[in-house]
Amino acid sequence: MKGKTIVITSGKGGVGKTTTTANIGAGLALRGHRVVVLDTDIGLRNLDVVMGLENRIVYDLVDVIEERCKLSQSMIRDKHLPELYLIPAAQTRDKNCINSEQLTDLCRKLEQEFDYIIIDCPAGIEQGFRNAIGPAQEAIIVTTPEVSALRDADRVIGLLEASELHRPRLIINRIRPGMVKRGDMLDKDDIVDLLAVDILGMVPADDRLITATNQGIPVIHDKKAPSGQAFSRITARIDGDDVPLMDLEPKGGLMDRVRYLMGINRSEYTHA
Amino acid sequence: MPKTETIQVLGRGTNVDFTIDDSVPFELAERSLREYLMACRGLYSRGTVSINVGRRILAPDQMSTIRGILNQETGLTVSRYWCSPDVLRKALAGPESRRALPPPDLEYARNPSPARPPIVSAKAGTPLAQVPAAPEGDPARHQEHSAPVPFPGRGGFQTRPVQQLSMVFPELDQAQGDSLSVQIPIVVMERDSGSAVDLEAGRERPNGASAESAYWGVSQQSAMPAPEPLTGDENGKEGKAAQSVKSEEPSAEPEDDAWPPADARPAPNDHALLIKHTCRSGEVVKHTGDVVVYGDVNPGAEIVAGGDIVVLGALRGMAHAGAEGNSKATIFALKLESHRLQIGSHVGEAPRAAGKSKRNARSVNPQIAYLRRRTIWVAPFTQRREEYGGGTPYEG
Repeated sequence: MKGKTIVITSGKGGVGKTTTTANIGAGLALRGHRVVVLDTDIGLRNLDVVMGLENRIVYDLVDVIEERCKLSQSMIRDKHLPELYLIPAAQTRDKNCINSEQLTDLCRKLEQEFDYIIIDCPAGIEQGFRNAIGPAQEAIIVTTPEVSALRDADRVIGLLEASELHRPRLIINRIRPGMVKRGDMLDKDDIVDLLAVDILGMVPADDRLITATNQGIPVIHDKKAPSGQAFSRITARIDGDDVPLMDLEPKGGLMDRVRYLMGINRSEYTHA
Repeated sequence: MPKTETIQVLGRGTNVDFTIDDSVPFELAERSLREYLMACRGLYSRGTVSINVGRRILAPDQMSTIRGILNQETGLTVSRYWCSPDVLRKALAGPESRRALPPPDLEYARNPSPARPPIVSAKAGTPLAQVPAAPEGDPARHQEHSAPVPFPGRGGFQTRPVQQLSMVFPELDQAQGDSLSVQIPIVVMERDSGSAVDLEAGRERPNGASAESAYWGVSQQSAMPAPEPLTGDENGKEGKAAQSVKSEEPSAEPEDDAWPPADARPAPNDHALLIKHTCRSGEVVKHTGDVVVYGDVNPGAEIVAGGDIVVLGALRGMAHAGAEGNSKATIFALKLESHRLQIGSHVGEAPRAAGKSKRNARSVNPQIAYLRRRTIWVAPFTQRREEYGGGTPYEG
């Protein structure tokens, strides 16, 4: 069996890389694949928290690379999905304690066992970034519809292309359809026009996602959450299915508008 | 880029590396180089290249063969041969190793053919690479193109553009073999801090200096022309003496001495640089001639051109045309959305808060920026004219 290694990166911090990683990992496992998610954000790990596996960590990525434990010992099985594993990052070390070759070797080993290896890349473009993109065969860029995030995404795309990772795909996170409609937020076309890459999916801003993240359950398990549905579609696209982009339309009803004007609506979007 | 088994060409923009397998016999390397250059004749234009000889040390006739091939096929001039300090050290370390290798250096030293003066940096008149007679090999070859006429603030001919690119994209070396720019004036640049070995200087050897000292005058730093002899004290002194002598020579024979030779020095605006990809944030392109971008220039990217800038896409990053003071330079873009433009020494900022004009993201509105009365104006482009007029002022 030969797996595929995908890196999730963004340049800027706080755009949702870790959440995206957790959800894509869970989504691919839901579709029946054997998946391992790899947290390379050494020193600032939180993929384990997002997946609700913090309490189970015994060994971490650095332990594996420095051969203090076996690879299988460091892999934590997900609570909900038996085919999903996490290799957590070390919290007490820093990004310079591993290098790209070591991580590449590790991923080549994992590819023998798993269908997908999803790497959660740290923010920035320094050593941690270079480590994370080293083993990857594909890259997914996560961005939010903000100028600063786009600027960083653009830079990262340039760096990925320079590292022979061509044609990265783009996930636009935290879109607010209402704002886009009013012209207060960059829309999909603006972003794709600027970055000139293929779009993999759009994820609406969603309160349920925040709740789910805090509970340590990837939102993709929540069938009602728009963001969870968006991640399901993204996962299907990664898996090769041809799924249309989510139709993000603000609620059009009178009551919604009234609620919005009164400031009591909880979310200003719905999905079609 | 075409590739053969022994020759690999990588690079883009103003940075092209030739790598030739240094394990194959010299004849084979020679033949592949000739075939390769014949296949892409026209791709390279006048300029000078420096050659990293890699692990092998070649005889003078082999050196001149390579020089002949390059000159004949492309018009490139070989300015110097160099190699890493390790190779040099090994070559001269033990008598057996020396015997094993052809000693081209000594050959040169004994018959100093005063064909050419030492290499002298354009500005300071200090010798660039002091060292003499170089070992020579075919292998790893570095051809670097960069701005031959220094931009303001840049020192001498060992210019920075390529280094800047490398800093911005450390991975650039392995990257993007396919998007090579065409017709670039090529000028020597040393990439890394390997020591420079200067063939011309070797030939130049003044009679007083011994071969050994000359051989060892290795300049360690690529960016700074200050030479640092690697050997023992006496050799070092001799080397320095030789250098000082050499550095005086150019004034004695001015017509022959300018470096690079007049024919290898591209005139400003001589050639255009064609960039066939989107310039993304962090990318810096510097070129003495015109620059044409076949794609967008995104925010955070920077184009600095001695001549005009033409962007066949959206220009959103920083553009500086006429960087050497040409106030006639213009900036053209199918969508001109930069917040800031520079022409010559003048800076202009977009008058309105950009971003509001994005409603029609797909539409194209060709505009040209030009300088008039010390202000940059941006006008819709209708046709090429000698003098442009009208438009919106971009106040400095």
